[in-house]
Formats: sequence, structure tokens, C-alpha cells
Amino acid sequence: MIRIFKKMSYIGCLAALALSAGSCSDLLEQESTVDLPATDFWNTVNDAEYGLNGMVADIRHLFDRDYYLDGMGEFVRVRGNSFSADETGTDGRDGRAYRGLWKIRPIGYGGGWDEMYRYCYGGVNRINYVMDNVEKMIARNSDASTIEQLETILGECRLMRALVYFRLISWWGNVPYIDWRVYDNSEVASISRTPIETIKDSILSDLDYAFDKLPVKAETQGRFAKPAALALRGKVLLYWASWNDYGWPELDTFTPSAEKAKQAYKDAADAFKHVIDDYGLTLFRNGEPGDFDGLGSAENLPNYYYLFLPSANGDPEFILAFNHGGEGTDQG
Amino acid sequence: MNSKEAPIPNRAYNFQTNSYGIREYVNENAGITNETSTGYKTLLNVRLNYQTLIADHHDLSAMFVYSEEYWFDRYQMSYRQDRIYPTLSEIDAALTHTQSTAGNSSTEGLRSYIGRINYTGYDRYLLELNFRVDGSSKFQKGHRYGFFPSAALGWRFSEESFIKPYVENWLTSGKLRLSYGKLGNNSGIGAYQQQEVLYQNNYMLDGAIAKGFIYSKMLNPNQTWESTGVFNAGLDLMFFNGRLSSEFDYYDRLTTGMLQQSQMSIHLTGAYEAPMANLGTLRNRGFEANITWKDHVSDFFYSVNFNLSYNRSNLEKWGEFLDKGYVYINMPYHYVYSNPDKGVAQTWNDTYAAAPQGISPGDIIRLDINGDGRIDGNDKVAYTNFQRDMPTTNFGLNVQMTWKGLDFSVLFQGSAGRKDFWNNKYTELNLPASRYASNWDQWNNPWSWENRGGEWPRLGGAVTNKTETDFWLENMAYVRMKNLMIGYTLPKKWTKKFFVESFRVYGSAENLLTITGYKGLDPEKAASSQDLYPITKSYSIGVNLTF
Repeated sequence: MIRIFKKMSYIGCLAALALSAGSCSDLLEQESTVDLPATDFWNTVNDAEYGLNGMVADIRHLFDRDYYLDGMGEFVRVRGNSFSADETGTDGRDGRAYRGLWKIRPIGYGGGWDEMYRYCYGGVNRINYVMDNVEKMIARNSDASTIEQLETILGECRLMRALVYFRLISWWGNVPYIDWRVYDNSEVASISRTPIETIKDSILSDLDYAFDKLPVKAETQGRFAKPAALALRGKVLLYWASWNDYGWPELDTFTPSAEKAKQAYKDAADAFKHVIDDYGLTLFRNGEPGDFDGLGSAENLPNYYYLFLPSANGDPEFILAFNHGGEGTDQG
Repeated sequence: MNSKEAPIPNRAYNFQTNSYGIREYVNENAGITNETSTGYKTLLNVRLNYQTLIADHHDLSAMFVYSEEYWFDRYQMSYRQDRIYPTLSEIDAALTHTQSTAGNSSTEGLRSYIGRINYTGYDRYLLELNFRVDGSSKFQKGHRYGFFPSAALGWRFSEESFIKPYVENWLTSGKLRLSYGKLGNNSGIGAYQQQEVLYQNNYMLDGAIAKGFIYSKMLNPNQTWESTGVFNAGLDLMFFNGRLSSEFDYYDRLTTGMLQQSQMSIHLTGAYEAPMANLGTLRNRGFEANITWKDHVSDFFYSVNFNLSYNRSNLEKWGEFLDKGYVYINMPYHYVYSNPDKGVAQTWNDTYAAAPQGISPGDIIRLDINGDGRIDGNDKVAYTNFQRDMPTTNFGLNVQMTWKGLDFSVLFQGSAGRKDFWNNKYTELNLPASRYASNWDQWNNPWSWENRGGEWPRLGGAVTNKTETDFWLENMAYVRMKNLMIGYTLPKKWTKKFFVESFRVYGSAENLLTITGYKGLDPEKAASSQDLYPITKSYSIGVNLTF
């Protein structure tokens, strides 16, 4: 009797062991409840739009303090939170891309622009991530209208990529060209520079695609439209023409060419003409200075002041602009 | 947890003008915050034991354990500004115009398989084998499990037939121990650190917030358990029928796979956070000794215990860039790194003779070690025998005596092998204009033309007087009488009449006496220039009653 009981207790123990080993196989799979797991994402067009929004919000920080550069003033002394930004992390809202500006010294201040370089590539990586996922979504999808919407999103991504690479080549000449989603540091640890002309061609082909796929007028205020791609194309061509016309002596791998300059000037003028004529764009408040008080009082401010308030977002003068939110939105 | 500000609005009051000052410590519109943190852990253990005796001399036992652990934490907070009355403390008792909320939760799981085999043979040979397999939800699939084995051997050589006859008069028992074990550590990784999750990053579209997500993790899929392996060799000896017993141990602990931030190209750090990787290796080697003598002379019992430990660390591998400092490869962790000096300059000639460093008489002369004519980071010297945070050697002596009802015990404790810079807030040389309580040390000690032999550099001297130089470096070796206790237990035959099993009255004193050459605050505490309180002496008396 006791022996049977002992046997049963042995079997009971083993059974309990087996049960517990088999159950709760998700004990080691614990999902985050606050941050979005990537496996649940990138399924619908809305997801793609959210990805696009996140990306544009970050690229905005590469350009949101360009007023520091007003008047070609690289020696502009600034106060404010460009100084207090800490160097780690990826939130650019505090102006960390412009951190080099306060290292004002006549020699060797170029190194201070490391942060702009770093965050420009940060923008490139964000764009490549979104494009990689949207392209996978297009490959999975067969519905024509969904594909059209996804291609519009791709067009906006390419427009942003053109914008960021345009800044990279205007400031640094030959730079590495990364147009794929990077999974590991080894892929870019020893990447070499690509010549400026090749990148210029990629920029223009990105803009051609964007021009194709973007709508004539943005459906939601804040998204980009054809005039943006066309105007940026004109600007890139204009700069390219100027470099070829006047030369860029510090960039020793660059040989300027007069015929390229001529052709580019023509193409730029062409693009700009289309922007001016074809899209019904007008200046903010028709370009009027507005009613304003004299020096010393500020009850009535000129129209130029209102241009920079959130209420001006969406005006037709803004061909390619980023939105900011104002108070309480955590967005500048 | 509920928190509210003080129940009365609190403002500064100026007693000289008899009116309220400008500063408000608790506003009229102070708010109410309510935070709730919930956490629980579940543990499942299934254990199988087996034991048997084979052939009279071989004792074998085995154990297997399956265990699951689960942690759950949840946090929720709500806050409203403008409470309607100072004595109220719940959220509804505040106005709704400014409110904020927050909440998050996290979970973690751990599954382990543990097994052990114990073998004892002839009462002389001991063998123990263990293994542990741990799987954690923090790591990615394929890298979740870590295997941590360990083994221990013991040999009571004093019982051997070829040893026992020669030693049994004086060696009561002797045991030789060897062991090696490994354990894993995953505490440095967040619960969801290894998961591909997107973070919120919103944009503005059409005047309203537009949801946006970004992906900013560069995951290292190979990340797994940090593991620590310890090798230990020990010798336990007992002499003279247990009157003298001693234990000696030598250990070598190697921690591998220490988690650190890895480096990433500038082309990625603008968007991604560099992943943690298992990159560091730290070795700690040392020995410990513990010797006790216990004896008695008729009614007088006494025992003396002495223990000693010595440890050296060595950083063998490190994944991040290490600049000049107190952490470096193949050096002890946090060694002493300081600028040698030549003392305080007494005359202008002293300052001219030294390398140019902008000093006047009364300032510390730092030596130019590399001879380049400049004093900078290259003139520091590392002292590898000393550590900054922890001593290398610790020792203690414990003496206990009892005679009839009296008992007496004293504990001495000390350490050596630690050096640190002892200047702190009490030795401030550049007196601030306000809010500083200077003392006579600042009059008597600093160098001045009238006080050429002053211990400290001059007041208001060069800023470099406060930097890490050998001038301020002091050895923190010390011996301290940590505890002294005298007690008396009333004879049992008296106390039993009152139904009290035992009644003891005692008096004790802590930290009575310290022998050290350290001029700083306290050789036992972590050095900090902001710390102003040494370890306190204390005296106490008490009564122990057992019913």
C-alpha cells in the first residue's frame, strides 16, 4: 500500500513537472505595453502615414533653426538651448543639430558642425527605414488605390531625402551615399565618399519620382505637393550651375564645367517658371508689408511677424515648409 | 501613494521687517498628485529530491528544480493643480483646468532548470556538481538561455589512514576544498530593451497633432547573459581539539560579457541608439583568512578571532574608448591617478624653477613628469597598488571573554590599500562671499608670508590648488575600535523566581577610537567633497530579557 502511494507520488511529481514545463510558453515572450512593437505595425496606409509623420518631424529639426545662418553669419552668437542639449539621444528638438555654432573661433570651427552632419544622416536613416517598410507594403498589396497612396508617401520620402542630401552636398561636397536601411554598424563603419555629381543625379532622380507621385495640391495641410518637388529641383539645379560657373576650389575632386553650368541654369529657370505659373501660388497676404507701428511701440506688427506664427501654416507662399505646433504641443 | 503639499500655504517671513517675503514655499494653488505603483511577483518551484546510501560508505543525493518567475509592475499617476482647500488630498478635490496623467506597465519572465548531485564517500571525499540553465524574456530568441555549471571538491585529509596516526594529537580536522562555479546576470538590461519597438514622435498637420512613430533602436541580436565565474581553493584546519580553527581561501573571480554601450558610426548615431553589447571583462583575485582561538581556564572563557582579506581587480577587456582617468585596461578598477607635486612654493624662486603653471608663493608646485615644459593631463601618474573607492585589504580582530556572569567583547576593524584626495568643503581655500562657515583651520593652516610653515596652500590661491595632486593624496589605512560591549547576566537562580529565563544588562560603545593618518573626514566613508559628516560615535545601554 505504502509502495503504491510512493509510486503515485513519484508519478504525481513528474506530471506536475511536465505540465508546468509545457504551459506558459509565452513566459519568455513579454511584449511592451507602452511602446509599439514593430510586428504590429506597417500593415495599413495609416501606419505608413504615421511612419512618415515621425520621419518628417525629425527632419524638421535639421532646418528649424536656419535663422542662425541668416546673412551668411557663421559667427552668429546665439543664446538658448542649443547649448544645453546633451550629446546623446536622438531628440533634435532642442537644436542640437546646430550645436557647432557656439564654438566660435577663427580656426578649426568647422569641426563644430559634426552635429549637423550626424543628424543629417540621422534623417537619411529615418527616411530609408520608412521607404524600406513602405516598399515592402507595396509588394504585399494588390489594391490599386492603396498602392497609389503608398506611392505618394514614397514620393514624400524621396523629396525629404533629396532635401537632406542637398544640404549634405552643399556643405560637405563628396559624402557617403546611404540609400538602404542599415541593420548593423558594420555596413557603414568604413563607407567611402561618393562624388558630388553622382549624388546630385540621385537627388534629381528622387525629385523626378516625387514630382510624379505627389498630388498637385496637398490634401492635408502640412503634406508636400508637386510645387515642392519642382521648386527644390530648380534650387538644386541653380546651385549646381553656380558651382560649375564659379568653381568650388576647396573641393579638389570637383572640376567645374561651363556647359554644365549653362544647361543647369536653363533647367533651373524652367523649373522655377513652372512653379510660378502653373500652381496658382501667391505670397503671404499678397506680399504687403501690412500696417505696423513705428519704432518703439509694438501694438501693431508687420505681416512679416505673422508669417512665423502657427496661424500662417498652410499659406500658399510656403512651397516646402515644416510645421511647428506652438504652446502645449511639445513641438516648438 | 498619494502626495499633497503641506496643508498650509507656506511663505517666507522676514522677521526684521515683520512682513511676508517674496518667496513662496507652498503656493496657494498647490496641487494634488496621486501615484499608484503596483507590483507583484509570482514564483513556481517544482523540486525533486533523491537520496541513497550505497555500500555503506557512499552517500549519494540528487536534486532537480524547475522554476518560473514572473514580475509585473504598473505605475499610474494623476495630477491636478489648484486644490480647492488645503486639507483635502484626493484628486477630485482640485480644479480641472490643469491636469496631467501618466501610466505604464512592464512584465518580465524567467525560466530556470537547476540540478545538483552530491556525493560523500567514506566520510572523507566530497563532490558536488551543479548546473543551472536560465532563460530570460529580456533577450531575443536564440539568445535567451545561459548555461551555468559549477563543481566542488572536498577532501578531509586528516581522516586518511596514512595521515591520521601522525597528526591526531594536534590536528583535529583538516579539509581541502576546491570549487569552480558560474552564474549569470541580466540586471543591466531593461525589460524591453531588446525588442523592436517604435517610439512616438508626433508632427503637426492642419493645425492638429498628427501621430508619428520612429524606430531608433539598433539592436544587437547576440546580446545575452553576463556571466561570472569564480574559482576558489580553500583549506580548513582545526587544531587542538577545536581550540584553534582556521580557514584560508584563495579566489579568482572573472566576470565576462559585461554590458556596455558599443560604439557606432557617425552615420548612424543621428538616428539610432548604439546597442549594448557584452564587451567587458573584469577579474578580481584575492585571498581570505579567518583564524579563531577559543579556550577556557576553569570559569573564564575567551575567544580571539582574526580575519583578513585582500583583493586585487584587473580590467581585462573593455568595449568603450578609455581616456586618461582612473579606469584603464590591465589596471585595477579605479586606481589612483594623480599629479605628483613638490609641495607648497615658499619663494618666488621656487615658482621660477618649476615648469610654468601660473603660481605664486603659497601655491602647490605640480611636477612636469614628461618634461615637455607644460603641466597638463600628461603629467599624471597612476598608482596601481592603491584604489580610490575601496581598500584592497580589510582586517578585523574580535575578542570575547566571559567569566561567571560577566561578558566582554571588543571588535577592531581596519583596512589598507586605499588612497584618496582628502580636500573637502572644510578645506575650502577660495572662500565664497556668502554662505560659508569658515573655521579656525582657515586661519591657522593656510600658507602666508607670516605663516611660512602652513600646512595648506594659501587662501585665494591658484585654482589649480584644488586639482588632484599628490599633495592632497592621503593613505586611508586605519584601525578602528568598532564596538566595545560589557554585559552582566544575573544568576539564573535569582531570575527564575520571577519567571524570567535570563536577564542581561549591557553597555556598548561604537566607533570609540580610530588610529589613522588620514587628515580627511573619515577613512571608512566614500570620499566626497560634499560630505561633511564623519561616522558617529555612539554609546548605548540595554537590557535583554528572555521569558
